[in-house]
Amino acid sequence: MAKKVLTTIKLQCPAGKATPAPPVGPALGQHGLNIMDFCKTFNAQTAQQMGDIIPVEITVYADRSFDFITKSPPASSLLKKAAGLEKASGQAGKMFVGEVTWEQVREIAEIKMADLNARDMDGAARIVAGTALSMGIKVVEEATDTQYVAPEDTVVEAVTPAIAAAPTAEEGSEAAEGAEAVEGAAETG
Amino acid sequence: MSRHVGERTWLRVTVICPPEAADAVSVALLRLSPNGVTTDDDGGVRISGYLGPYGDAPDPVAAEASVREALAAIPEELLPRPPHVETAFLPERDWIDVFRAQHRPVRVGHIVVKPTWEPWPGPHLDARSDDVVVELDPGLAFGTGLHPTTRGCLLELQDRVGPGDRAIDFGAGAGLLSIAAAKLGAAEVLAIDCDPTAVEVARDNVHLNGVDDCVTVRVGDGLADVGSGWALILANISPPVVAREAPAALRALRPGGAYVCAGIPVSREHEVLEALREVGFDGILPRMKGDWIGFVCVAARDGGERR
Repeated sequence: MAKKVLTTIKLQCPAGKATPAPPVGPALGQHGLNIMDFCKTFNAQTAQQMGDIIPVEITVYADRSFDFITKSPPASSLLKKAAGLEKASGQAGKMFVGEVTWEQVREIAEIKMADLNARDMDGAARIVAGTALSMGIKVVEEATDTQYVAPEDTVVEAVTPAIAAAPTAEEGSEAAEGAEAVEGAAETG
Repeated sequence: MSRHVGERTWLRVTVICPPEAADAVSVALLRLSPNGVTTDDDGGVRISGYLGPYGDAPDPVAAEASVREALAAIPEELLPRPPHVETAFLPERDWIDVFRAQHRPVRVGHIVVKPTWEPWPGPHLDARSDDVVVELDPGLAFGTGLHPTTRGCLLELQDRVGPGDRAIDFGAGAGLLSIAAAKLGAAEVLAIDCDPTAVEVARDNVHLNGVDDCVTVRVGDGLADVGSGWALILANISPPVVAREAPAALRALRPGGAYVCAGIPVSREHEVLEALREVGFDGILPRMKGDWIGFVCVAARDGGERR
């Protein structure tokens, strides 16, 4: 007899590192599931993918038993691999940490098409490109030789201007002039 | 006991977003919530991460601001502005209590594993004359005696540890196997875990059971520096680590000693077995337990071939 499904829990956890802390504890605990059992099994199954984020779907049955399946890494993990990054930018949007080509984006979109809720291939590629951008990964037509700053360094680079001393009066007026010039261009354009 | 699970509070932050932004929002939240995120897509996608734990009352306004900052890098085309962010307090106790309610005293062979908060003998387990009782507070570490691989190790321990023996518990978690070994008469037990939280929990449990003189608990991720002459090395840990540490285990064992490998899902059986066969044990005995398999690898009695 098929067991009655109560609900499905969707998590993304670092491979080999699930612990009873949130989100696993509360997500499983609210259904009275054996948190330790899940962690141990998940960690054993994913130990070799250490460093990846693994989407996992837990099916909860009426008798409080459960099983789970791990899914392929999300587009974000594939993007990191494609860009040759260890991790995404902590300051995404302020500085690029790597690049991927549109061709790579389309390849990833194809792999993840089913999970992307996109109407068509173009829509899927746009979603993957947007995800790339949010991670500080630039999408380019053709691969370039650009040397990107490692993600660790970007934090330092990006934070430094924010904590630098306030601009001098002279610098301040230059900045103001620059702003006026832009405004002027907008008016005439 | 409450040192591990105090009155701390987590802050759950939930971002409600269109399906196409789910991956980008997850990436942003994972930066703040490195243990993971949950996705709930019943009617609109809700992605939740957890910030904390906080010793004092967390500041939801500051937390929401940090979430909004992390979301700022997502193109507007994917995530319309302003993003919808909700925050909620989550006392750490909530799910730990729920989890505790699932744990009852269990008997494995002669060993009774009794959670500290459960009465024994009590409604869930009677007492027998030959019971060896291990009190355990799993805290946030593993090893409650309920898992099939831990049960397998407990049974193996009872067969293989005698008075005066020296044993290693590699991947000790909450310290269950170490304490059991000490209570079965081992002269010296070394408990090793790579997780400092587990080491702390194990030390407390060792103290709770009054076996401090016999059991040493320390942080470590291998068997290279444990010396030699051990009668038993238990590795209830993940398949790659079991395989990786096998040569060091053989060097550390006394003649006739055993390296007990557990924590191996049946799907990984062959890969681990292949690695163990390379090492030069005298014999490798499989131990099945449901979906899990263990191996007892025995060092040659005469010292045999050693590498």
